[in-house]
Amino acid sequence: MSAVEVMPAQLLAGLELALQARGLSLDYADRRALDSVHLQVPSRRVTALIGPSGCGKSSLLRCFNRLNDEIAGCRVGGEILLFGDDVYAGAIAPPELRRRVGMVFQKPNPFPQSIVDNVAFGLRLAGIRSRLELDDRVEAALRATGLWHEVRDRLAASALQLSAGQQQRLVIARALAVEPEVLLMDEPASMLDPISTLRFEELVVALRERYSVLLVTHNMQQAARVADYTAFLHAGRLLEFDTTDHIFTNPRLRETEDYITGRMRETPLR
Amino acid sequence: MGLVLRLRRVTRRRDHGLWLAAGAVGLSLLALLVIVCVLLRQAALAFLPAPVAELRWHSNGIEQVLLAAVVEQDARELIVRASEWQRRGTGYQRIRRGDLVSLTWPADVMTWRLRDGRELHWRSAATSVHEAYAALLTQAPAGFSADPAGQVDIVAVNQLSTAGVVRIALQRAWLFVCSGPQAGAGVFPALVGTVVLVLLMSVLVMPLGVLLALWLHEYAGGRRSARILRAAMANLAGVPAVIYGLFGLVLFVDGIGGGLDALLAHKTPQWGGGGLLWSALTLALLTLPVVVVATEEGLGRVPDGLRQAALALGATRAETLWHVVLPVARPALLTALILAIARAAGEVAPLMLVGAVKYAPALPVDAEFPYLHLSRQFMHLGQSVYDLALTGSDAPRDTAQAYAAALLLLVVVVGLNAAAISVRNRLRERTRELST
Amino acid sequence: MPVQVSSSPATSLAARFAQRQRVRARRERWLRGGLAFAAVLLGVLAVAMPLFLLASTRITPGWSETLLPLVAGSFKAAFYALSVAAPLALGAAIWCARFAAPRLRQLLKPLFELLEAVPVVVLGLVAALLLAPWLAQRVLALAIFVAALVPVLAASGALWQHAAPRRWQRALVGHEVGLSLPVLVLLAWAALVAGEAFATHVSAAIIQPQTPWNALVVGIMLGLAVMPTMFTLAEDALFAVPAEFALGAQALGATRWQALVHLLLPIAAPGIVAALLLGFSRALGETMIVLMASGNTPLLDASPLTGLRSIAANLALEAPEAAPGSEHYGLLLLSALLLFGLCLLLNALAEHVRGRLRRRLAGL
Ligand SMILES: Nc1ncnc2c1ncn2[C@@H]1O[C@H](COP(=O)(O)OP(=O)(O)O)[C@@H](O)[C@H]1O
Ligand SMILES: [Mg+2]
Repeated sequence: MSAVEVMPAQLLAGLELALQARGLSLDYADRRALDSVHLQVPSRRVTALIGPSGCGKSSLLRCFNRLNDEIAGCRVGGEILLFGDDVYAGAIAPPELRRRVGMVFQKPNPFPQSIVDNVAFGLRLAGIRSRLELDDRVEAALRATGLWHEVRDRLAASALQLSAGQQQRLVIARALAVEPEVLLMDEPASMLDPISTLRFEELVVALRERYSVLLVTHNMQQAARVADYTAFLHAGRLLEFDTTDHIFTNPRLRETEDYITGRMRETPLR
Repeated sequence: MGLVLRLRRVTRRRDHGLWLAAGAVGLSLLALLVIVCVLLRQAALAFLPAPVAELRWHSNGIEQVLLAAVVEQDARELIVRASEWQRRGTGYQRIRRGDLVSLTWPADVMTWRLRDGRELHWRSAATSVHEAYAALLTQAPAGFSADPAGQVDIVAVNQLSTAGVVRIALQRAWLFVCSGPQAGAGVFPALVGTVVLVLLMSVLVMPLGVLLALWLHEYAGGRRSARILRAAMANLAGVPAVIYGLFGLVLFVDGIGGGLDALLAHKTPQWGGGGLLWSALTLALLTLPVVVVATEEGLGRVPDGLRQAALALGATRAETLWHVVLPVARPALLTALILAIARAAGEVAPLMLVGAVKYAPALPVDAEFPYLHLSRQFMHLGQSVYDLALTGSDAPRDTAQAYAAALLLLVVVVGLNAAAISVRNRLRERTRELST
Repeated sequence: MPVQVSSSPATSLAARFAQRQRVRARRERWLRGGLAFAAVLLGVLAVAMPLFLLASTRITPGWSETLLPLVAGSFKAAFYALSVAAPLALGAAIWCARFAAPRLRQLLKPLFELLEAVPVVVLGLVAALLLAPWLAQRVLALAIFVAALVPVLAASGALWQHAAPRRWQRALVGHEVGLSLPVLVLLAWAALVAGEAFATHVSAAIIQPQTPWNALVVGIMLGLAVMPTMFTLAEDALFAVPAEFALGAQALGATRWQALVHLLLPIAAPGIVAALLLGFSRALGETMIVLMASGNTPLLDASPLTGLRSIAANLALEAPEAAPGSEHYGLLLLSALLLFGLCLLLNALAEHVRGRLRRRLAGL
């Protein structure tokens, strides 16, 4: 399937592209998870990625920061471009790539350290030792996620004491601290309570000012609320890509409509 | 209902196996209990001040009188230990019960225990140590001389209260732990040897074991080489300890050590005999599987989300390991260390081949450069137990001391194991916390 | 919500990362190198051990006459050890895994772990100095004890089930060990008394050991030493079988014991066989107990009342004195190689069997 069929021509015309996948395929040791995926993620926009469980959303996300390299027996074919540079061609070393492409996971995973140390983790990797600069940058990152006021007087407390919603914002702050260009989020709100989810969505909308966000979600309302564009992935193939409005009001494909309206939730057997 | 019928009905339920199984548990527990009690009792005998009897008996028609501690007795004869005026172990006598005229426990017996392990008994109603000593000199055989400073205690043994007995026993036990064999009997050099050996072994085995576990768990994954290495590890764990000793003898002592001596043109073998370093290396090999398995288990408990998080922030593998994985797995490393130490501290057979000796003239550590003497032979608690038990010169005392040394070894090893078990349980709690 | 991350960076973070990249990449390479080195080192050692033994062995005429009694001695010690350890370990494992109250099980498991931690030289000491002379006078009592053990336990169990009030029985479910303790102590006492009483009626040849340091003593202590290992393995295997199986069978009217014998034991059998194999391997290689309590006489017979000399004990006795390169040395290494091969074989077999158990349990 070529890019032309998947998305309307001229949809992203004039926009800078943060990430592009071209003919991307991915094989695990025993199965194929992605099959010639063409996806374009515009810069400074929120793009939602939806699709039934097991269709390969997480796998796709992990291609963008080469986290799949860490899985034994996983092979990636095709091209991935980050602002025009080929990610797999060796132009960017994986650690540098992962700094530029931050990731937030489904389960909040703060390190069992203090709140400051969590946020400063990436900064220390850059060799920043000065207490002053670290504090500055940590505060900025915490402010950016709206967590600063909640934790400012217990920065030395263990991060594990925070609530799930706070933990999720903490790991976002941790990712923001290293000044990424793109943020990948893999069902980041699926373990949060409704109020935390609301705050989280506000945050995503705010992040749109400076970052390109690719957000995997199972929650259709959430996609509708925060995303500019939505991509529909199904059984390892990207079937449809359009503005969020268009996808939700007027999908071109039968499968997309079935999925959005809740008639298809299970992984189709292949 | 007839008894036979009732019995048959009872036995039809065939639940007897359950009772046999319960009996197996009971028998094992009883065995453990008996062993511990026996050890405690026998070890206590080494330190309890023995009451001293005055014996009168006929020997070839002549009546003899002797002050002596009764060491052993049965229906036919007594074995007693009288004053050891000259050397340790010289006071034993065998007296047939038929010859015995009387056996009394005079209250005014004094016993003087010397630092070299000898005990002297005499009668004196003295109240001060000086008077008692003067009385001793009048009763001692000609030519006797002893350094009054070389004393452990002077007690009126037959008048001791229970509290006094306990106090004296504890004093003697303490002295046993912190004095050497040249001063009578003590396990201090063996204790030092064991501790130094085990520490050196830990220094050798921990880095290698942890590196290996990291490679197996974090890098090699399911690769073929990793599977081969794991199998090798499992097999190494099952190799008898004495084979490790032989391997150490062939490779380290005769091979490398002999080669070193030839290279350095030593006239007397320095590295080519058993020594501390070779023993530590042998034990390190022996405990390597323990460390690797325990560390790998700990690494397996580190939630994968933490690794992913660090990598996704741009950390390299090395940084992920150093800053995230190892700190979380630290209790597991501690468990691995303690398990290795517990295994090594109780092991004797390989050491008999590569360096532990019955009597070493010097400690492996001292104030002389280079402080830690890697090529020196050394004493070891386990080896001391074996030697005291089977090759001692003063059997009644040496065997009692063998039990005391064994009890000390048991306390050290079981304490370490208990520590490992409790650390492991705490670790389980913590990782459960992490993963919820 | 305003998003403002970098407040006032002196140099941009990207530049700082770029500066550090070389150093960090080098560290990564170093770690990889160190790990690979450790792995290779271990691989070499694992291979080197048998090779070293092999390279220095020397086959001299008459080697079989020298080695045969030693091999026989090792097997004899291991056999008697296993005949003590196997019933104890398996019985205890069965009870702990399937019948013990959870609280009691949590107490018993660490106890057995502690028993495992007791240094063998301590057990050897007790065997050589206390058990051997004591038992030499009481072989008959031991025989009576062992012979009466099974019937007495079974009978007391049956009596309890039949005669004790239901309420007591229910209170004691999962704690039957407590009931077995007084029975065992009483039985032991009775056996001692009976042994003394009948001693004069039995031929001395049967009950009088040639030496106090004989295979019987070795078997008992060595059995106690290897029992905890076997217990742990067997217990793990039995405990891993899902409880629904037993409950299902009991719902159909089987007693707890019947459910165990007909359902659980067959499923856990590979784990139990592995425990037996590993126990045998450990008993073959154990040194100190045999060294101290066996008398170390190279004999070629199977009687429990005579001494023995095992390969391992022989190594500990003779290797320190053997001159490198001599015939004697070569022969010792040959015996070590033999022992090494035997243990390796048993371990590999046990590992293989355990793999079967794991696959079987994964299938459930
Ligand atoms: N590490 C892995 N190894 C093998 N197969 C995997 C792995 N991760 C995911 N898969 C398989 O790849 C497919 C896509 O998984 P995933 O990307 O996690 O889907 P999603 O995130 O959309 O639910 C699934 O069939 C899954 O079983
Ligand atoms: Mg997913």
